[in-house]
Amino acid sequence: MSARKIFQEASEEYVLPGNSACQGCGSTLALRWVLKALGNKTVIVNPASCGCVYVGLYPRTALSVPYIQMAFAAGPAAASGIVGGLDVQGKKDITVVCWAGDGGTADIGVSSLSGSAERNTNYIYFCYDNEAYMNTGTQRSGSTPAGAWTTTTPLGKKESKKDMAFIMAAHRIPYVATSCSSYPIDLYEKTKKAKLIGGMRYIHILVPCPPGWRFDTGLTVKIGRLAVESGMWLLYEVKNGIFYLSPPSRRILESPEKRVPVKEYIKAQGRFRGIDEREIDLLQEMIDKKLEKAAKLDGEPLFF
Amino acid sequence: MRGVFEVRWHGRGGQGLVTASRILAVAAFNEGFVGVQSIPWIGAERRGAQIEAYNRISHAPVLLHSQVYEPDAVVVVDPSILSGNENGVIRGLKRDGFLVINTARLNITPLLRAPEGCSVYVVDATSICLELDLQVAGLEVLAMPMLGAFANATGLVSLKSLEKAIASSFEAGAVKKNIAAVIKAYELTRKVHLKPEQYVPPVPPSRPARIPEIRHWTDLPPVPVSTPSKGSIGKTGEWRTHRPVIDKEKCSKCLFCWMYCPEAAINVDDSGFPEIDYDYCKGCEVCFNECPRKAISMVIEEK
Repeated sequence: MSARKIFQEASEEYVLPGNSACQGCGSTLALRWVLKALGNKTVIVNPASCGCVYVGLYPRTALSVPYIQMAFAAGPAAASGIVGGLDVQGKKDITVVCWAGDGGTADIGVSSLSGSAERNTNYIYFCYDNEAYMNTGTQRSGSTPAGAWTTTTPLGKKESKKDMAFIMAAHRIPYVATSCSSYPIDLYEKTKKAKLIGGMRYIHILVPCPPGWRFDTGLTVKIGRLAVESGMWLLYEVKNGIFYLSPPSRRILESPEKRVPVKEYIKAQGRFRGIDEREIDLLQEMIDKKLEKAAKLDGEPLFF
Repeated sequence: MRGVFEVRWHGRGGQGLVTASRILAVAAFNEGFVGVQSIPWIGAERRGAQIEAYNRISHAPVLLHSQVYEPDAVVVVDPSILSGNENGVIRGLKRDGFLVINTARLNITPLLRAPEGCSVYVVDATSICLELDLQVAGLEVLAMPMLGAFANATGLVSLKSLEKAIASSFEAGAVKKNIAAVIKAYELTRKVHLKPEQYVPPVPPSRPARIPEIRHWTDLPPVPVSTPSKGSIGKTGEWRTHRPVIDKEKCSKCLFCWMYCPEAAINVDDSGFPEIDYDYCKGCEVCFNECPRKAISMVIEEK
């Protein structure tokens, strides 16, 4: 689908301009496309994150759909309550969404998220993953990749990134997907698909963050694209337990000449300045193995 | 100097105010002052938002740790915050105080207001940053040259102690550039005399509002519900240093710019051409980088 074609059906904006997000924010770009896919019959729950800031302060808001700010650990719990309330009122056409950052998903919110997934609560959980606590000035989270600089890992993080999408897939929920803000059409189509499914749905979106990842504001889309083209970030769906690679990631497996060495992704960002050549080679090796495995998994059940 | 000398910095997140205020405190300590403080005031840390930072400098230890309400000097790092807010930056500024302003990219002198008896100093910090390539992740670190301007205006700290403070704050590579910016600004700073009508009586300081006493639940305000509106925090177009301009000759109406705009500041007009909403475009340059036909150019902002 081309941008011009998608404009015909999704010209309505639900994230209004003049919000307080940083210049070149990947997260507002992702939220814009999520809301375009969901439409105005949507209720958003937002646990503490950048989202709570860029939506604006009372008495004005940048979102034109109902929106509730929630405590860090309680996003999915609040969403569950709203789902229950709408159910009792007999309102079937409203989508409940939890829009949370990676800290609110992988660290602080993981218990209530896991609980709602186990209950198969009827809502969509979006994790926008900027790979650290960016709202408070770049502190390490469970989702920060190994080697990345943050204010709390000045020499680079030693531990590797928590794979939230697989953790959610292991809950055996009907739909799990990963996306990236640099692929708005991919995100739009996955959200549309998720909207039509009942039960708990989880979409994990990688969103580049210029101040936290240390790159120029204009490169937000380019960096996200490099993450996918290098294989650092895989785009896939897990539908009813079956793993499917998405077209952008399948493309780099089918035609290796379209693959970018991970070095390009690493070198484009200031947060990886502590990584040396040997570590880049190791990372490249890991990614090669990951892609090999992903190619074998395509179309197969993820768990026994 | 007797008593405590208080400084208030005005600017936007990402311009290095907090770092500059810390360096000023270190430099003042190097200069021989015993009581030095550096206080950031930011709320949620985010680029582009209006922020303040404070300093206290004294020959005796300072026991007051609040924000600064009645400064002896005000440093305005980003001139764009002056429009519509002329009195905001000089609130509480003393009669014999100093007003140090970055006058880049727009002729703001008519906008200036200063309390009677105040000395006004100007310097073009933005050009200095652009010339020396003093940027972090694409944003000019305007506060560094303003340190030099401050030193020139007040004479409180010498260039030597500033250099020493900078050398202890950054990695070796960044030290040279930062010192060069400070020295250059020190040399280029000049005192200006405003027109008589621009000197106003001192503006009273703003104090935090008292929270009203609530005795009964009926005294509570109604549930606060925000209304959706464009510009929920104002005209974010003021954040730009460069503006994107679409060349309609080259444009193929592919709408990639519309698709990738993080701000939703690109609309599509009736004939299918993208149209940039300059009231809200923050100038992030994503559309400039994503345009497949290179039909968008970035032009330096001059107001």
